Amino acid sequence: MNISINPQAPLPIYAQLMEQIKSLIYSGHISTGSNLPSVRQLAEQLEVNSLTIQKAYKGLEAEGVITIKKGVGAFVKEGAAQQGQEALAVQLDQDIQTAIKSAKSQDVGVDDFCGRVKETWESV
Amino acid sequence: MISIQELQHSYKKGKKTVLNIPTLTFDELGVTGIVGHNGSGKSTLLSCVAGLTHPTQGRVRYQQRDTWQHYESIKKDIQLVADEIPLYGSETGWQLIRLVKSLDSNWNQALEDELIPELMIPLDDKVVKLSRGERTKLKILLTLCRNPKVVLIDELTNDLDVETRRIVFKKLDAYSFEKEATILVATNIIHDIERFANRIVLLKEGQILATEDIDSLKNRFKKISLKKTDAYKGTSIKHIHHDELKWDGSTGSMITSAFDSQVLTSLEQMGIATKLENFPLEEIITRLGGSLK
Repeated sequence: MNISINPQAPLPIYAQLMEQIKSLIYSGHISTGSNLPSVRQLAEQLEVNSLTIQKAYKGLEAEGVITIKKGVGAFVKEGAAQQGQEALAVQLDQDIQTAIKSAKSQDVGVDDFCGRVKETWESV
Repeated sequence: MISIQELQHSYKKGKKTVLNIPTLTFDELGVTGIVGHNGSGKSTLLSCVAGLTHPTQGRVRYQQRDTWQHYESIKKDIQLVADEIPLYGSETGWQLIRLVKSLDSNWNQALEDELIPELMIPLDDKVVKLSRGERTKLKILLTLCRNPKVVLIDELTNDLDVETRRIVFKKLDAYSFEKEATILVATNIIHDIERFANRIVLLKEGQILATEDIDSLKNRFKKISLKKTDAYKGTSIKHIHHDELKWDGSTGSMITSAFDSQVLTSLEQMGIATKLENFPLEEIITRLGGSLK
């Protein structure tokens, strides 16, 4: 599993892990039903403590992304990728709304706004 | 598992108190980093927990037993790995392992078989010829194979090479996770703590500044950048809980050690745009009043 974490980053490691595993699932790099590495394997690979990995897995289970079967392992849940993509689409809509609100409060018109989006698009 | 009550210690009667801990418990698996400047009481704390130092006042209990009074019965469960502990120099690594094993009915042979190839210690050599890193790995092997429930590591990680520290921490983590053992490591190497510890106990001059999960510390210490929007009516923001506030009425920043997402909602309702930033652990330790020097 292609994951890299940065312990010096301010975001807790378990949260970094959750985000990266989710994005691997949503992008189809980890498919439905496939099993994730064991807590010990991932701790060994990433050189972080096992409890942090366990915390990330439990967090993903609580969010309905994976299922943990005791003594067997952690599996990507059926439909997790689709749900994730939907959640990301909702997030994008919300982000766009926020940007539009900000534009309206500064009296920026729709054409001007779209122009700026296009300009910025290339540079991001 | 370990409970400290009203612990005080000074090395001579009437002399400076080097440790003063009203209450502290350790009952979780995982690694806890004991962090603080030199002379902050880290070693004394570990020695009291191990039952090797008789505290001037108060007590440390392990499963309801006073670790000083019941040292003989608790010592198989609590292992202290310290720099000063001598390894018999005239023996080879193999001879030393055989000796320690013969004295211990609790020896974990399966773990020995697992650790020996992984730690890569030249066991045919005399112990006195081993490098510092190799001796450290040998001590860890001898300690973990005795199946302790509590492992205390005193400054073992200082001036050891990165590779040795990494291996030792990985073995400690695996051991803790598999055996549900409690591991306390006195160290000031923040990079190791960030990777391998779950919790820190921050000491300063013998007193506890903080004892908390690292994730929880990272979640509650935040910097919020502030910028007014057209909706801002000039309301004062001083009443919102903060540790530090810089605000000139149009831009600024707020630092808080008790972050709650409600803070962002309140600010946004007042017409102030916010941007959340986090602190690295090292800066959090400084903000708590700690020092690593």
